[in-house]
Amino acid sequence: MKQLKYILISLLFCTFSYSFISEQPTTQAFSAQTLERGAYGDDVIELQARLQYIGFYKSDIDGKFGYSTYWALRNFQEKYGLPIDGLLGQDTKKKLVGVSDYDKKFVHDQINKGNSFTYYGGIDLDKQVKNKKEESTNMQLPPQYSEKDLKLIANAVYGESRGEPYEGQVAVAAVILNRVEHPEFPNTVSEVIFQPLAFTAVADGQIWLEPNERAKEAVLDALNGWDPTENAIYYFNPKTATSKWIWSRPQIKTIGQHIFCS
Amino acid sequence: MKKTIWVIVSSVAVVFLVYHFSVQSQNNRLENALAVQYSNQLTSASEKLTKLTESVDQTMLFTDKEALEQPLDDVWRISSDIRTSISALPINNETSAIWMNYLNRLGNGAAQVKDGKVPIEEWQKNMAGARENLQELSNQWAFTNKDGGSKDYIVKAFVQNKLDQNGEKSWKSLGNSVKAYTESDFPMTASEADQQKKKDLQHIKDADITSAEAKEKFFKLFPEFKDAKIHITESSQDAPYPFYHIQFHEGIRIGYADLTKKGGHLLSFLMERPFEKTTITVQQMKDKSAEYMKNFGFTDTEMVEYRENSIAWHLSFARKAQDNDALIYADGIQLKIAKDNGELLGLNAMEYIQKEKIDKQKIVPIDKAELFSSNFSVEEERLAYVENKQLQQRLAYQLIAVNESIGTYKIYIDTENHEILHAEKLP
Repeated sequence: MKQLKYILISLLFCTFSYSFISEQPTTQAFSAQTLERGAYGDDVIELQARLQYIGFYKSDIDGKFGYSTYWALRNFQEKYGLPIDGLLGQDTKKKLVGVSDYDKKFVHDQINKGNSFTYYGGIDLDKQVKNKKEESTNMQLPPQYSEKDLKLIANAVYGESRGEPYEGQVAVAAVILNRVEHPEFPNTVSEVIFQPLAFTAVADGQIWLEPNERAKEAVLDALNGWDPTENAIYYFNPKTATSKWIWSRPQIKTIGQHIFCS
Repeated sequence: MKKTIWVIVSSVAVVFLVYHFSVQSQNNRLENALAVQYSNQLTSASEKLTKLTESVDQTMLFTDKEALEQPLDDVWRISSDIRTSISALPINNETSAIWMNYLNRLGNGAAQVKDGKVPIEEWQKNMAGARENLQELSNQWAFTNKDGGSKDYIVKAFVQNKLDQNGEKSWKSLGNSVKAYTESDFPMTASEADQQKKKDLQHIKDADITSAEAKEKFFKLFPEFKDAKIHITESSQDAPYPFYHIQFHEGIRIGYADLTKKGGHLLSFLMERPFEKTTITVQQMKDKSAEYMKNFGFTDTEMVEYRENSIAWHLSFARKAQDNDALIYADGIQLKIAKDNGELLGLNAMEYIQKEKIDKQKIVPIDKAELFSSNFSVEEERLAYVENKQLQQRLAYQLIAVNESIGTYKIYIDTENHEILHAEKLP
């Protein structure tokens, strides 16, 4: 009887311990990776949320490890006597998890819904959710380009060249960027794309089609410097081109169905 | 008689149908044209608002009058541009007037500071609060116009705000105004002067290589594609510099590499394949990138930044000057490395082949306290070469300046004459 009593007490203790542990914040959520500036993903979302919870991070929680996150992390490390290197290593993770809380479901729900929100500790979470913000892509771009640039060029690339090889899609994006830099074309992405008679996809409305991930990836490569056209500012499909003038342009190379010209 | 009536009715029906479809098709074309014009204005205003916010932020950076000149000028110019965009949009008059008033005040304020009529301290004091309002307005604008790219939205907005008010139902008048807009604002100009914006690769002095040698060089650079199907074409006769375009295909991998005809230098390489969901560590990625750069012979470079994305990392390298370790951004190389296994997906060395000519330049120390507002701290400093307005490579102090609420800026200051060469906000 006494033995049974001990077993029951042990069982109760185990159950209580388990429930206590499972109710704790998700302390083991960080992966084993060391994070630094330039990283992107769920670990960065958790890092930003935890830093914001204790007041170090004030920008958007977007999973992109930029300078705002970097300085916030360094300030945290300084305050807690950790090596100030802006890296999220094991010691910093352990300390951060110990002094902050992280409601993964809340944070990810807001991001998935596209809400504008904050995650400060001590404030009712419901009061920290605002209206929807502008839709954001999950891509990190070179500083001179905006997400609007990426979206708009991806629309144009998809409308103009979705049937082309990947190289051909990067090439169309590169032509748009080359035009932005060129003195005889407008100076912004939107003005270049919507310049009348410049792109067929604009004239026939195909620019409004939703681009796929492949087109976005192609644009990302072009924004990062790839230019398979070798500096072209025009291209045309010789099977469908009606302008005689375009044949007078100095040709550079052919990719898929398009001839690229300077 | 009955037959005649039937023929007449049928003919009328056919004519009506043809007319109907013709008008519908014309309307559709006009809708597209209209949507293009307004989408352009909407996105343009949105982009300019972001730029305006950045320019206002830049006026908070400095106390030096000369350094402030450009950002103040930008505030004045961009606010004026946005007013033009907004005035052409189908938004109601009241909203439009409020926006105009706001932007007018902002632009005039900047002009007055620039002309010395208002002290810079006063402007910076006022802007401390105004910049937040502007950011909020910019966000609201983006949110209000989140459907701005949709044709239906634009056409509907136009119809509700302009057409109904005027009682005008015909698309014909719209067509005329769109046409006039198109012709006056965006005349299509042919680019007769081909500007060599990037590197002047036509001046490479190396000897020409043959197509067979280009193929050999490709296999040497990328031995993993020794069994790939290869298709080589030479650049067109009119190309500014001659090169070989090598397209390859091996199993799931498909891509291209361009080599210069003179010397067989690798211009760029890019490959596409399906990806696994696994991710290697950042350290593994860095080790891989160092290995690639060494193998390609780009040993005088330094990695300056990398960005993780869903399937790959994009990395940027810059050449380092031998005497002072200054970064020469114009001699850059970009890599694309797969996240699943660290495979090289892309390499762009177009800018690296023709190296910049770097001249000796004096380094005069700068007084950062005098240059920056007291609420900015300079956290990092090193030397780098960047272009000035005359497109000359100038040695510059590369400073990372931070303000908790305004953000992080990378600023280049000429080491000799202390001219601000470039300032950009970092994400």
